[in-house]
Amino acid sequence: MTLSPSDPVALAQASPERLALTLLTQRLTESDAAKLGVFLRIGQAQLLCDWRFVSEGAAHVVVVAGPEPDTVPGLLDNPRATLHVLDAANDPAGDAWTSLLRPLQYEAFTSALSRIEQMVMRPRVEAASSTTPAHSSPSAPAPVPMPLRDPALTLGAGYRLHRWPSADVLRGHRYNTRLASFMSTRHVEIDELAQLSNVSRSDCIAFVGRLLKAGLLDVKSTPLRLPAAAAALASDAPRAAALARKRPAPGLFSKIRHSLGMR
Amino acid sequence: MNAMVSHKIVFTGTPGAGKTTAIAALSDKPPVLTDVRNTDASLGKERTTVGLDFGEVDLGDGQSVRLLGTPGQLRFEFMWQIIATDALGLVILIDNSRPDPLADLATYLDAYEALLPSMNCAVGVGRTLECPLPTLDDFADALAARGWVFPVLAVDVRERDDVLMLVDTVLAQAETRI
Repeated sequence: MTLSPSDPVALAQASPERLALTLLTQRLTESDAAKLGVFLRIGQAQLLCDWRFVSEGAAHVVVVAGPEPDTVPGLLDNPRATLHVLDAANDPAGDAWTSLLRPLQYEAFTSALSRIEQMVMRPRVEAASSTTPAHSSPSAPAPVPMPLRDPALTLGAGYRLHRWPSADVLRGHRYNTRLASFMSTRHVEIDELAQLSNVSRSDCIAFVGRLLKAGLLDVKSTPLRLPAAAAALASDAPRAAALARKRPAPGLFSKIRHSLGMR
Repeated sequence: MNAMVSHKIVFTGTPGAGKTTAIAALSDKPPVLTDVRNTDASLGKERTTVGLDFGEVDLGDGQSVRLLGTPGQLRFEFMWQIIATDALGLVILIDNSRPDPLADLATYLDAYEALLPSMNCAVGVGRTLECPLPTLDDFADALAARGWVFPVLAVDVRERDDVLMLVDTVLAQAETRI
């Protein structure tokens, strides 16, 4: 159910159906936008509303890099909320929850969205107030999904641990420790993780989601990557040759695991 | 005749942390040990390693993995890097019952600092049941503060599965570096 963001009463009364709320990003780096896209995709299940990014026009929430959103010609009203992506722990807006500090954290972002949901869905939401959200356009355009909502593009995101997880986070699947190890040396994509570990893709996604929720991952949206050896060859043939000499023979790791009786 | 290809995994860490026991748990054949009667009362054990412990896992087709244990005492620091150079992995074993386990970890991180950027490394913390502090999270924080993300696992080196888990995390790191 998609409602005009300029109609908070309708929004508030529309429950119990899931409401569609929109986010407009301004001046975010590609990396930050990618992270938020991934956070939203993973966090959707725990949120009450269906959130989606729009590239222009009306939106319930603006996510802006820096303290002030861009001025939009014709803008009459403020959005429902403005989230600020900041480098430092100062919040010019005065509300800590509206500040998203770099490196962006899953928990902070989804908590902010939950808080906005509560504001929007409160039965006696500020119907009479003039704080109707929205950017200017009189007829709200259909929300345009952000590319990262596309599952295929989500696959392009690489995940790397910036701290080893606690035992609580590792608990669950017996291969979680191994999965975490794969992500401790470099950014690894979901499909690559599944391939390296021989753990199902859905289990990998679930574990990565748990790590994101715990704020332990650095997320990097990467373009299609050449295989490591090909990339090395393309850029520096002598170095590639040296790497090839140092590289263990194919199957070494499975041989070691087999010889040691690991499953 | 095919040349023998061997890889090595190095176990290092504080005296009494269980390096010799860990190697014995994995080795195909009885490990070669260089234990002597301990004359350092502060270590609280009868025997200690003064050279290096050696075990081996035969992979077939002319390949093997050598398991090397360094002597733990600081006076043998000069050997640590030599032994670990070109290793497939490094396992740092910490005894949580010692007076300052985090300082012990720092000692080994400092000693191997030059190798760590390209080293597959895991930290095994022993005696966590008797001595729960510092916690595994404390170790992870200490590593993160220095920019390292190495697996930190509680380990009982007498349990082969615990030692295997440490080795498994080292292998996983090695796989992602290929």
